Amino acid sequence: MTKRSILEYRGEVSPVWCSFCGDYAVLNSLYQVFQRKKLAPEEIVLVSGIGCSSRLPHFVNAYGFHGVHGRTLPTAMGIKLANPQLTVIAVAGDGDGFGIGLGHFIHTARKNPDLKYLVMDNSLYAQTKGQVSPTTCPHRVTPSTPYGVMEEPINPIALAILSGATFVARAYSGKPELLTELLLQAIDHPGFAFIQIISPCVTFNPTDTYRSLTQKSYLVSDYPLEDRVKALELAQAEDRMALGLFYRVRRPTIEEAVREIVEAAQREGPAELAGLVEEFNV
Amino acid sequence: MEDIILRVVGEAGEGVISLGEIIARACARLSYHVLTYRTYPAEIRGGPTMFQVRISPDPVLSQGDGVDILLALNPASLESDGAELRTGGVFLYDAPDANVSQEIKDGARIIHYPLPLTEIATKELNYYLGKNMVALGIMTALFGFPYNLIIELVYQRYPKAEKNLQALEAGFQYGKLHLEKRDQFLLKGRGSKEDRLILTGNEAIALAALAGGCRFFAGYPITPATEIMEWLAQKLPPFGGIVLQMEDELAALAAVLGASFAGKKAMTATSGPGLSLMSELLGLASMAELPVVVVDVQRAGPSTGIPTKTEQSDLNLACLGSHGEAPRIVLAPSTVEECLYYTIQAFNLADIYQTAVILLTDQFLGQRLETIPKPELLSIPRHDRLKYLANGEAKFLRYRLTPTGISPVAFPGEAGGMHVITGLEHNPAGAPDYSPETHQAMMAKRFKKLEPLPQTIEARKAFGDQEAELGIIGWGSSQGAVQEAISQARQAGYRVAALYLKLLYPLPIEQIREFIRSVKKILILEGNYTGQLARFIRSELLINPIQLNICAGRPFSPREVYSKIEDEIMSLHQHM
Ligand SMILES: Cc1ncc(C[n+]2csc(CCOP(=O)(O)OP(=O)(O)O)c2C)c(N)n1
Ligand code: SF4
Repeated sequence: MTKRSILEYRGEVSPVWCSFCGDYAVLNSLYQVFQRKKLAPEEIVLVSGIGCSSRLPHFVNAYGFHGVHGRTLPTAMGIKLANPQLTVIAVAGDGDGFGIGLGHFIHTARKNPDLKYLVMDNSLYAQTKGQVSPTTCPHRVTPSTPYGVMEEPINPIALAILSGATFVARAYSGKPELLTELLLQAIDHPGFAFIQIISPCVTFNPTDTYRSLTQKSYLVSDYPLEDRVKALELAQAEDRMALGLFYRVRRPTIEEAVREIVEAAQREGPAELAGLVEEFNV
Repeated sequence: MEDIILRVVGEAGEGVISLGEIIARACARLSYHVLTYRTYPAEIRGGPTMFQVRISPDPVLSQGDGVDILLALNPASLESDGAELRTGGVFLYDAPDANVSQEIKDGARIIHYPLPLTEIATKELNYYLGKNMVALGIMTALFGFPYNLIIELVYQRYPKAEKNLQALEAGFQYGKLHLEKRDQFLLKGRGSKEDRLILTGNEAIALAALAGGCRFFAGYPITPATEIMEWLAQKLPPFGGIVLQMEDELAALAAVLGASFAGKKAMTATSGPGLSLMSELLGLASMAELPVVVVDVQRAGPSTGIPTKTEQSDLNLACLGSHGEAPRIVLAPSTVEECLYYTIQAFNLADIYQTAVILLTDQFLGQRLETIPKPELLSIPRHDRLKYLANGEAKFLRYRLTPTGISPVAFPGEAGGMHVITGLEHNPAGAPDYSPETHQAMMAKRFKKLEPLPQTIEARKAFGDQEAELGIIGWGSSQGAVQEAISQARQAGYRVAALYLKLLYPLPIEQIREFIRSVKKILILEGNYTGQLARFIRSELLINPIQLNICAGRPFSPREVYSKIEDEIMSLHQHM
């Protein structure tokens, strides 16, 4: 295969993110992974919802579907099932993925489509200027919680494991090599690969700075990656900054299940419309 | 034999629908034309259920008025249904507990057959649920259905239930040995041999979707649309396609739009509550110019409304639902045969115009069985999206401004066609662009491309008299009742015409104007409370039509349409 230049993947639209936004690291890692995997731009589809993070597909020279808020995963799955040859990557923010679209996260995980799902988690709704998100810590003051956040944050890693995701990892924009490494592994994984990417918002989140996050972050220890109980135990660490791959198993994807159904149904050759019409004869 | 209406009533769970469908299929086999109508409760057990078959040697247009043969499996509805029996009608009911009032007994020369249905089912067979089959056996003997045909149809419906065949036999023997025939109804067959189909509106849509090229369906169960998903779930895989039941209607339409983006012909089917949830994504389909077919089998609303009852109240939502101004195509078939034709059209139009096509039917049409001439599904041409060919043309621009407003597409996987679609306003390349010029030009593009549509498809059907005194405008499943009312009006010497709109968005304004000019007075007839089509027509054409609206969970009857025609023509004459 021909060697590809990283420039090939750069879209005509330039990023509209603030300087130092964590999402740049995700975009750069994607460029690198595409180059290292020698993916042809026409074989890549990036799917997103709405938010600062969801702008990402516009910055890549590939096919892209920038849809509506929260519906990222079912849209991506529809594309993948329609053409399983494509490399389909869904990208979203924590609001898109864990707030308005959370139901789809659980249901997509259990279907195990061969999608890569990258959630750029800045613990707030940046696009709408800083309100609380499903991963914001309790008591934090945001424009929509002037007296402090009242509820518990969700735990996306544990939720993904329990919902049937077959590849579950956490990365951090402040550690781009690890992010690239995990992305490469996710691309190689045949199934639903979810990476929660801690991706600081430098404009609206004064608490989760690169400095504080880097200080808190550490790598998950080595253990057998198919050990669900151990993975869940680690996922529940209070600090929520353990980075790396938590869980990986192999399970048939929904595309494989569909292919099996279709092949079995076509064992005697493809069906004819005329035969179907006959079924309604008086 | 003239046209007859046979009705079965009982409680949900008593087998009313099974019994009625077997009779309908038997009559279809005997070369009669049939059209069925059913009402049933939303609960699985209990509540009044009704199944009616209209049987005729001529094509049947509507459910009709009154009843000729009434079978009551249960005394609950004896009074109300009994009162609809016509002169010379037959009343079969479960004796001895049937409490038929003297009034009905004496009224209009009705022939009574009190039958020991429960007794045979419980005492002889020890099988209470076999009551409907006992009744079927008795009716087979009484009305002269070929017994073997009925056995075959019962067997088709209940392949494993030996007991049902025993119940049928017990009823048949009772009918032959103990029942003295006192009525004149015989359904022995017509001996014509045309090729015909019997199917429901929902089945027609599912079949035509397959014929129209649909290979991807994602949906969420909802009465009365679920049959479309269930039929396709069975039939798409042999054609290389698939059905996915999703977690909600949002996911359903999102997945369908994804599949469409990747190049498939894709669809979903739902009813009002689901269409409400889908409206944001419908706007995306319009904005991103993604073809998709969405079926709405309407039921009574608002909110959960009456899940199993018919209504035509989603027109506003179908035409205008979604924020901003998001043009789409809305089609409304009126008959099972039209469900076939307009579904194939829907797939064609979605691809030609690159937008959402909503197919509006309703519970009455979706769940009624009709006999129709065998269609030539494959002879209807199929159209696909205009493709971009990367052979030396200028750079690919997904939303290139063209004279028709239609821009060529490329599908993921195709070299040279990379682009990003977005629900944000975008320039011809697809990049977000909020400039005033772009928004204005792109809004115009999305609307303009649909302008030729009313002239390019069969946007309406007209029938009735030239230079009519009264012109009726309607849409959807009420067409048959209106056609019958018009024939009756013609016999009474009135001149009436009707215009049935098949394309509801964009409205074929010129064709409506022409019709309005040709008649003296306009009546708009709709199965909704406010007159949603009337409001569109009033505002587009600045006329003040009379309205006939029902919002009762049932279809229009020919009789009520006729009496409205009569009233309006009378008042017209008085004012002259
Ligand atoms: C249905 C709907 N509701 C609300 C919005 C407004 N909105 C736009 S982006 C956004 C939140 C985005 O947050 P997140 O997904 O975390 O992305 P971020 O901007 O933080 O990257 C919201 C609420 C919308 N676009 N659509
Ligand atoms: S507001 Fe925050 S999330 Fe949005 S681009 Fe700026 S830094 Fe990034």
